[in-house]
Amino acid sequence: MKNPALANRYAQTLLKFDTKGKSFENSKVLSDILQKKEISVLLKNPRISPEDKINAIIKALPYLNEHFKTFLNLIAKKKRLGILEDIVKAYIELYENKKGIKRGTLTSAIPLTDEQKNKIKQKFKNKTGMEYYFEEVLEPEIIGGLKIQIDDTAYDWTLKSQLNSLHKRFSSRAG
Amino acid sequence: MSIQIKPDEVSAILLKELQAADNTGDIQETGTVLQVGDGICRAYGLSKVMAGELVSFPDHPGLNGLVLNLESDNVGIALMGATDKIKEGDTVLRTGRIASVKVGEATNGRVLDALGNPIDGGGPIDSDLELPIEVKAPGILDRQDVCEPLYTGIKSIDAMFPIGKGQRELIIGDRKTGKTSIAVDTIINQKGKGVNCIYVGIGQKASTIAALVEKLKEFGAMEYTTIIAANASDPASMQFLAPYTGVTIGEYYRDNGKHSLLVYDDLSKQAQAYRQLSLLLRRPPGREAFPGDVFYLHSRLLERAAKMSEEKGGGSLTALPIIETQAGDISAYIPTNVISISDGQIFLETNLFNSGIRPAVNVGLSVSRVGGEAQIRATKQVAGRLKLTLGQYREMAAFSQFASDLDEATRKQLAMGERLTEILKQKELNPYPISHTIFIIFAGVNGFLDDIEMASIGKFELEFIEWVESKYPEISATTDKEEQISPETDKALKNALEEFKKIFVA
Repeated sequence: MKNPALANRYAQTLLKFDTKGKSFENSKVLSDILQKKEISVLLKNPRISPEDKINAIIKALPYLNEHFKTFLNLIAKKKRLGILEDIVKAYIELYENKKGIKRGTLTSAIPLTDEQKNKIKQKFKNKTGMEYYFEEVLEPEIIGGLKIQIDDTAYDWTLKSQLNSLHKRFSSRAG
Repeated sequence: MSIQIKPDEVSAILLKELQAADNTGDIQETGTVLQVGDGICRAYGLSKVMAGELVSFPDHPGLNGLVLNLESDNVGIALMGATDKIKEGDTVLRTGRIASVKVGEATNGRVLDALGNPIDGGGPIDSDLELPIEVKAPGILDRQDVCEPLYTGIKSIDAMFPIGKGQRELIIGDRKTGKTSIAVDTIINQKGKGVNCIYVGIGQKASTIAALVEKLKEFGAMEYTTIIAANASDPASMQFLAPYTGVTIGEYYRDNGKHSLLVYDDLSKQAQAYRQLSLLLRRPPGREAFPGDVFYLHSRLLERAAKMSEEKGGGSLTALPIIETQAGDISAYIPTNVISISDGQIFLETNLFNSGIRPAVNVGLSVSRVGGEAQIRATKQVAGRLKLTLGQYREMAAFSQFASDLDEATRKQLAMGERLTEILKQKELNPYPISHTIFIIFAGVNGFLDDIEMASIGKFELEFIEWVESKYPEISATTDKEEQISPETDKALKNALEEFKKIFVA
């Protein structure tokens, strides 16, 4: 995120005025679209005016509701299309937090079974009462164990870091 | 010599170590680098990080950062090491501790960087005690008045601007006026006196530090000296931190009933390093572009110098901060700040230095506000007259420039003044024990030098001290013991001077 404070401010405004929660669906769709390379190239092109860019997006996604379209137009007017992706991401996060959903990444050396994943989710749920969804990452370098990142907290239970700390422990005694 | 290694012993030790290791995994708070440049990094996340906390970069082992700014959406971090490898998106980890340094006798004889890591190739510091570098200064109840002298071994300073243990005496002057020499002479003079010395070099050339280490080794002073070096090539954050590291090492002695002497060479460079950090962190600039808290930067550092009360062990930490002025301007921002914080200053002048008066102490502008309390009676007896005579001499000398012929009394006063100025000259790395300082000033203020040629004063001084120490060693012994010039000593010293003058050939 280039400017988290700015993106958050727009996202909070959207959340505040979206009483029916319809913007969430729209944001989800938009977020997926924004991942596409063509769209990001379009948004970054300085030769296309912000109005044209937003019109193109609205045309491509005719089922966006009026409320959300107004919001997109506001962003275009304020010349903040550069951080549109961040705003949408921040909004989704805010909305989900409000609904009791947390997202994080789960790194493991081998693919985990559904049962294992459910167990992990349940453990976290028991702690905070929130629903957890993990983006799974396969990273054989960690050798074994798990690494879970939620917001700015990292739970490091990997074999790699344990070996590292052992290495540190032994080498610090070597002197 | 070969060491026998028993395999079963080794595996037993390994097993023990493995069992003791903490394998529970850990929970860390992370952040992401948003921006990096000029030794400053901004990170997103780290929502619970504390101001002044150390952070680490898992992708760059050995690199640390110091959290200086906590803002609503990001954290400003001063990097302490090579910054060229950090890139946007790198992970930052909290360490949960503020910078700390290993302290103890093991630091003696070592050269450390601003974080307390050895840089002299002598292996790790063998000490289990580690203290945080930012702590509060001792309170009022923990202290007592400065009551013991700390001799610099420099005649003019020990006589006129005495420094006491626990005092903060500023050494101020332009470049090339001998500021560092005074500090180094003082360190060398502490040999065998139970004072542990710490020299903090800030923004200096690495070659200067290397030369200093050699010099101290030559005089056997490295045994009780620790050197903290934040060289000119080190990041500004290290130069900002080095004095705090030094004072923490000194505090160990202070709090354990021992004595320590700290030299900060120099605090103007530290202020500049801090200004650089502050401006890059976009803190608002004030006078001379220094940030608003530059006074606090120095006051909290120098407040940690103290003479502890007897209940607290009676230890002390004496500070000799050094400030470099530009063209003799002591009314610039940083000099006035540090003058107001410290308990006196020794002002060195380029003119005096160039006219051969070395140490180039300006007697009029220098002062020691508390050291007089700590002076022994013997010094007070001779130095009181010295200061007065020198003051009258300076006034007279200014007037006599216009007068063509002078009366006898004036001429005599001028002659004495010239001779007193002459005896206060001293070569570098040649510390004087306090009794010798007293003898020679005694000779000067009592008029024994008035009929000696100016050119021979130095020779007289040298030979007299040598002669009196071999012929009448009891005089200096009684002076050291009684700490005063009793009528008997007074008489003996006068007799000795007269006797020596008869045999002295210029």
